[in-house]
Amino acid sequence: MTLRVFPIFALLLLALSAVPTTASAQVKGPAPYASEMRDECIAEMEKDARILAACEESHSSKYQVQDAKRAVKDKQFVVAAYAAIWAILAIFVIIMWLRQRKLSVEITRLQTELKKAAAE
Amino acid sequence: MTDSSSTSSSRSAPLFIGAAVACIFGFGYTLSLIFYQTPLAAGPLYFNQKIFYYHVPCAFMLFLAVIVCGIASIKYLRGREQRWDDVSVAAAEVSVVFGTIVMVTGVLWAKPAWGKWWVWDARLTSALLLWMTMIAYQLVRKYGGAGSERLASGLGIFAMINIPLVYSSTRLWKTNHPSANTVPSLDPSMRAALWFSVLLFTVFFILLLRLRINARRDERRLYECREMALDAGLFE
Repeated sequence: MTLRVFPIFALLLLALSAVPTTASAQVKGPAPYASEMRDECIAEMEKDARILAACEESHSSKYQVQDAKRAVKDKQFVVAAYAAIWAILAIFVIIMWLRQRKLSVEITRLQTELKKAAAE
Repeated sequence: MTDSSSTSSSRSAPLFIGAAVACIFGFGYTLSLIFYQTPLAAGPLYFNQKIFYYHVPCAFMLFLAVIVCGIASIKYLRGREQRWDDVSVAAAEVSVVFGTIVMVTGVLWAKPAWGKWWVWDARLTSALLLWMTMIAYQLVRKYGGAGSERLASGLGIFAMINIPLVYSSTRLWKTNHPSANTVPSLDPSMRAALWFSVLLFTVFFILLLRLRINARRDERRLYECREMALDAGLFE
């Protein structure tokens, strides 16, 4: 029973490595929103083209997207680190499983032969 | 002689399965905590700080494994009881695994944080020495021949003594590596994710240690079976 669980366990560990990639993909700038107040503000600002230009420049989604991009810059290191953790643990679990299986087989074989020899 | 159905691994199967299932669900939950429920760290690390939640618990497990190995080595040297030697060997092997994780994740964190893969500061160098000592333990056990268990036990004790130096290296010397004092200053959700991760890795460590001890006992049983087979004239 234990020996059968090992490969499933190792595979699940590897599957968990995908989480950082999907998580980093979700770190995005906020979506544009619509509201009456916003429309009123824009209408007021449009009366002075310079204010509107300045506001649009500093609050545009361009900067938010830039910030979001900076936040997930070098995300490949996080993905690599988590993949490495799961891979190392999975390799160790698989090696232990193979070693344990070999031991069990060998012990069983020797015990059977010893029983046979004792009976003779 | 015991039947093959009662090997060490078979006897501990329910315990193993329960702990393994708990670990799998637990690891899934930690990933949810780390990537969806904790805020991004302040610059310049931002998203790369996420490595911290597994790097630090693995470092704790490295320390724990080395301490277990050191204590078991002392017990073995005092009483020469095989069960303590089994614990020592198992803990040393698990410490190498966690040490490898700490080194790999540390290097992958250092590059975005410091712009270099490695710096020879006190924390990194002392941790590297600790890891290499545990690798030396494995080599001594594998190639040391008769009496290697005593020499390896000495190495295990030496590694354990090294731990306070590794832990306090950030306070004793000026290092690039952040000190342990940064943890209390973290956001509460970040601290919760860290401590949950530490708890989970501790369960996982106990699981791995237990399995390795069982395998070690089976190795000795196999040796005994071979001796009996030799005596019975089964081998030429």
